[in-house]
Amino acid sequence: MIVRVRGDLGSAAERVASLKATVIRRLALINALVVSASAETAERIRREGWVVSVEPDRKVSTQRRPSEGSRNDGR
Amino acid sequence: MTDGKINGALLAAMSNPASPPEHRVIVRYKPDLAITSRPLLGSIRARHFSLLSASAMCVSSEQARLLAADPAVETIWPDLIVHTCLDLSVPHIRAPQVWAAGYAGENVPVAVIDTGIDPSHPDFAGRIAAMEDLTGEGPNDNHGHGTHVAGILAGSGSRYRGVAPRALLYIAKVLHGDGSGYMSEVIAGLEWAVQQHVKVVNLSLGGVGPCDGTDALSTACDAAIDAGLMVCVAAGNYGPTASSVGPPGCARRVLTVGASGNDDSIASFSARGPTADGRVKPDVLLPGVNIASCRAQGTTMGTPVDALYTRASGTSMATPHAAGLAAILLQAFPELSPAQLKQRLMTTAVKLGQDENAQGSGRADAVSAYQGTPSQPGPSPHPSPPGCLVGLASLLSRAHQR
Repeated sequence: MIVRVRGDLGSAAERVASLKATVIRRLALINALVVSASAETAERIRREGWVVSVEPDRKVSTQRRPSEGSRNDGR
Repeated sequence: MTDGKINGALLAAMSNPASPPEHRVIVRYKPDLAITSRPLLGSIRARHFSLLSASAMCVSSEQARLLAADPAVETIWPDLIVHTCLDLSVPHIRAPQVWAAGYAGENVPVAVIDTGIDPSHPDFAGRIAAMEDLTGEGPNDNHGHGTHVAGILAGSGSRYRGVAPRALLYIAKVLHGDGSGYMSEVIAGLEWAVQQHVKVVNLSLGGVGPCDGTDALSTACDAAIDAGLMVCVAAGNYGPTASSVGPPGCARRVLTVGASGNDDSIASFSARGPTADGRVKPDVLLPGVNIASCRAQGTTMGTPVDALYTRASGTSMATPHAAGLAAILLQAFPELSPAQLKQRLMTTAVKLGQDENAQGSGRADAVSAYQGTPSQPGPSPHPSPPGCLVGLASLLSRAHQR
C-alpha cells in the first residue's frame, strides 16, 4: 500500500517499522512510503495522526490495445 | 523591395551572425526564362531545373541580395534539408515542417517510463543518455511496448521516424515483462526522471477509471509538473464508455492524450471523460491506430512489419506523439513552462467537431503549435503522402501563395 504522510519521511518510516510493517520504498515526490502490512496493521497505520492517506498500491499496465490488427479502429 | 523577394527564414539566417557565411538557396526566376538567360553571379556553380524556372546554388548574404535585385529573379528560398518519413502519423500531425524549421528536439531530454528499451535498435543509436531498472528484470525491453513507444517519440529511422528524432532518451523500466507494474514503481520512475532533469515525460500506461486525480500516481504526476517537467499520459483504452479515463490520466495538470486515426476519426477504444469529479478529459487527441514503430529484439508485441518494426494501436501510441511534440516545441521555445506548453498544444489543436469529453480540445498539430495560431476548423485534412517531401512541399506551397 502507499501511505502518504505529514512531516519527515525518515521519521515516518521508523514509526511504520515500529508498527511491525515493512517499508519497501520511499517516495519523496509525494512524501509517501510504500508499505507491506497485514490488514490489521494497515488499519492501525491509517489511524495515526501523521498519516495523510492510505491506498492500495494498484497495478497499472501498458495502454496498448490487445486486439490490434491491420484494421483502422477509428470511427 | 529586394528583401521582399527573399524568404523570411532565409532572411533571418542571413542576418544571424552565427549563421554560416554561405547559404544553400533555390532561386526562382520569371516563368519561361531560358536557362542560359538566368542571371548568375560570376563563377557560382548552379544546378538548373527545367521543371520550374529555378536554380539551386550556394551564395553569401551579399550575393543573395544582388540576385534579389535582378528583375529576372522572383523569389529566393532556402534549400532546406528534407527527410524521408514513410509512416503516416508523423506527417499527418505536420511534425516534419517543424523539423524543416530546425527543430527536431535536438538534445531535449525526454523520459520514457515503460517496459524498458532495446538499446541495440539502430534508431536510438547514440541517443540513450541513461537507463534505470526499477523492476529487477534489467533495463532491456523484454515486452516490446517501451521500445515501440520510444520509437514514436524519438526514433530516427529513415522509414519510420519519430516525432522528435533528435531528442535525448532517458529510459526508466517500471513495467515488467507482462506489461504491468505497480503505481509505486511508476512513481519511483518519475522521481528518477526528476533527478535526471528531463524536460518531458511519457507515460503510456494506466489503470482502470473512473478517477478524480487524487490517487498517489496522479498526485505524483502533478508533483513532477510542479518540478518543471511536461508530463504526457495515456487516457486509457476503456472507451467509448463515459468516465473511462483511468489514473494517471485524470491528474489535473498532465496532458492527457486520447487516440485518433490518421483520418482524424476518434478511436472507439480511446477513453472518454469526464473525470469522477467532473473535469473534461482527454485534453487532446493524437494518432494511435495501427502505428508502425520500433520493435524490440526477440519480442512479438503488435503486428510485426519486419525484424526492426511492428505495428500497434492504443492511447499508448498516441501519447508519445504528444511527448515528441512537446520536445520539438521545447527546443524552439525553451522558456515555456509545462502549463504554457499544455495550453499551447490545446489551443492550437484541430477541432474535430466531437464531444469535448471524447476529443478534448481536438487533434494536436505541430505547425499550429509551433506558430502559436489556432488550427483552422473544417473537414479532416487528407493524410500526407508517404515518402514525404513535406517540408519542401509546404515551403513551395506557401511560396506560391505569396
